[in-house]
Amino acid sequence: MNAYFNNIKNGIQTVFEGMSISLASFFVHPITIQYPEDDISSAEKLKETYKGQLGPMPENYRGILDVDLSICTACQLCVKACPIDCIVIDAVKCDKSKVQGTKSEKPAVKTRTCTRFDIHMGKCMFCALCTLACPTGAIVHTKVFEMNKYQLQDLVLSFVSEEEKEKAIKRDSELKVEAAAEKAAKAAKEAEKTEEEK
Amino acid sequence: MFKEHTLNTTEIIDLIQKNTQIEVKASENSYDASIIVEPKDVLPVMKFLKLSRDLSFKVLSSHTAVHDGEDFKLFWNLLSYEHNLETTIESSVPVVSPQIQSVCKVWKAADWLERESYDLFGIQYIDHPDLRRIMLPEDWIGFPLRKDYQSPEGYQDIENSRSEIDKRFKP
Amino acid sequence: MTSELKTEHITINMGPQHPSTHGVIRFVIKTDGEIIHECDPDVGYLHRGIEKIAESVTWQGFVPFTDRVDYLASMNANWAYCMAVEEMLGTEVPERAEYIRVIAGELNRISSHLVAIGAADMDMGAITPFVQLLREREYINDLLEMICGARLTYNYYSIGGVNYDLPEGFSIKVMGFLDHFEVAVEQMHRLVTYNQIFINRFANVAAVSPEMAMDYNFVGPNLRGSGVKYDVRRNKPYSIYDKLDFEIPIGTASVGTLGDCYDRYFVRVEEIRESVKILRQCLQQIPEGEIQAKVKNAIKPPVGHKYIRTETPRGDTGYFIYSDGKTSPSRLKIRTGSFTGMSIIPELARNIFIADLVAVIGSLDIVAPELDR
Ligand code: SF4
Ligand code: SF4
Repeated sequence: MNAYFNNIKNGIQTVFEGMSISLASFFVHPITIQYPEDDISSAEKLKETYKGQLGPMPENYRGILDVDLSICTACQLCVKACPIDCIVIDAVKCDKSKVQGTKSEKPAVKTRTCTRFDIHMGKCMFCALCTLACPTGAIVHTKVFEMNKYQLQDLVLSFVSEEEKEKAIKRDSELKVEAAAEKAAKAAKEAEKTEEEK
Repeated sequence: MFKEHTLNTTEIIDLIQKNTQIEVKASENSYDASIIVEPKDVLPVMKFLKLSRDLSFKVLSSHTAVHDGEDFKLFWNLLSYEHNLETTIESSVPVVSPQIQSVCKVWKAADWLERESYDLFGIQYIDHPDLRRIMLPEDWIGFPLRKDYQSPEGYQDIENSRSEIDKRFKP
Repeated sequence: MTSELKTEHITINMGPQHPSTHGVIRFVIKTDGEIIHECDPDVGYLHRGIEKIAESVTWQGFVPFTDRVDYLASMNANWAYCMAVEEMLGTEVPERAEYIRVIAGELNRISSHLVAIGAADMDMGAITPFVQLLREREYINDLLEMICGARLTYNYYSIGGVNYDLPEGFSIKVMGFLDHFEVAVEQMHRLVTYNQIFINRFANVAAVSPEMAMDYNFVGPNLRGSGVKYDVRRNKPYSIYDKLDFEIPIGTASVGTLGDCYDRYFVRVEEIRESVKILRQCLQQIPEGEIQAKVKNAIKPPVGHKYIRTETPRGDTGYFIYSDGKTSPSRLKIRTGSFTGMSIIPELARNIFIADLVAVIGSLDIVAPELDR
């Protein structure tokens, strides 16, 4: 009989213990962000609403990829690093120039430029292997994570526009012609030289 | 808590040969030392390894197969918590008739591990209580982890083809 | 007049989409009234062929796939794979990287155990603890996001070290979290561990004897819940665990039989405390230095096989790798704790209530993607 009443007592005690903890939660700051009503990009506003409990996104957040084509040397290292082949690069020759990457002090030499730089964001798994492999820091993760699209096709990001592509190809053929002319000139010179020697 | 000296592979081989009169040999491998056992001797050797007082490999940690040319190499990774020992038993069966004695009677853990390697490699375990597919559907054709496996055109109503977008990325 | 009542077993189907099966798993149950007569787990709904994928990607390229093996503890899954490849190549990991690995791994262990405990509670019908514990996990997610930029699939460890260094002010933040967290663990004890209803549901249910646990290759907290004191971190120390001071909690049958659901649950709670201890030590001892050893771009480990075991939250996870000297593994087998834990269900579920089956699954802490790979 005693055990019976003890059980009832235990049960009620346990329930009240739990209830007290639940009730205490009414008096703490909210922990969830009211997305999308709250603007998550502004740190000040977040601080105001959530009393310093929630911060903005960290600096190195791995969102969708972005490419800075002006410092990309078309070295294809990111393509090789990606385990699921969701980057594709076509490249042609361009005027030789030096570009300052974000990863090292030393500028990199750029001799090729992209005519096609596509990333399939629908397949990408945000693993950051490409950004880690890139020697110049041209390919980076942004903080953007919203990318709902109506078509799968729209998830393919193309970073080289048609005009740029045409320009690059035109410059490439010009360079080829120049190179060929140079070669011919050189060959002619050589021939002259050997003839003179004779 | 544990004995200072742990037996090495040669000592384990000596113990096996002394007690069961079965020829086993050490394999030459760059990483883990393993003991090569003939397929027909696998069950008695395993029984000995588990029941021996000096070894008491009471745990079958992992069992798997590797498709290597004409053969399936089979590996059993054994553990002994009492003596803090670890060893690998290796055997090989030909791909054309992959048959081996099941070790379910020795360790219960072998049941699912053997079902898995039956499912993915098609290895037949003799005397296994319930040898059927575990990961793949029952009507699946072929054994995917074999090196010569061709992925099917589709399964039931699901077509297995690459989309136009994928083809642009990798022709 | 006597009429014989004809009875037969009813076959019912639980899952694949069932709130208390912890993922997509199906159970075919033959019942006699409310008592389970036979239970056949049907797994494989989440089989993504990760082991086959390994044969077609590079050695470094496989690291993000290990995230997907166990999404609740991807740090530890990364760790196991990277360690195996490092051993094959003979790479020495810098000391700072080892400390960072332990810190990240233990943080992840806490967060994984929090989900395990919370989900077990929710299966028992207690929703409040789940929400409370997920809130704590959210802080850990924030911390891990700080160091690697992702919240679930981290891909933080690389072969030969870690990908990023710890950000500034990280250790202060972790210390602050640990102080807060210890209070939260106490609260959780009040809410769940000493709750009479919870004890009645978990104690004396589905006890697993030490022999049975070893026979079925139980690992991790499940094994220790049965009273076997075995932890890879202690018995075969890797990384810097031999320098750290921590206990290995085992089941003590405090309220029921040895190896019952409550013991398995309690070992997890105690392990959280030990992880907190480890974290404090690491944060004090962490040295300065390199975080990444020099590793070639195209790795080609020599021919051979290697079996590496590490202690992840779901126990001793083994990576068996067979290399044939090419740029990708020839065979990679992942032996996980959920897989062997699940294989005991047909035996454990015999002659228990259907409601207790839910408790058993909850207490075994089964994660479906890890089970099916
Ligand atoms: S983040 Fe990973 S998956 Fe995405 S493009 Fe880069 S390497 Fe490929
Ligand atoms: S690795 Fe960097 S520089 Fe090289 S092609 Fe890719 S984005 Fe351009």
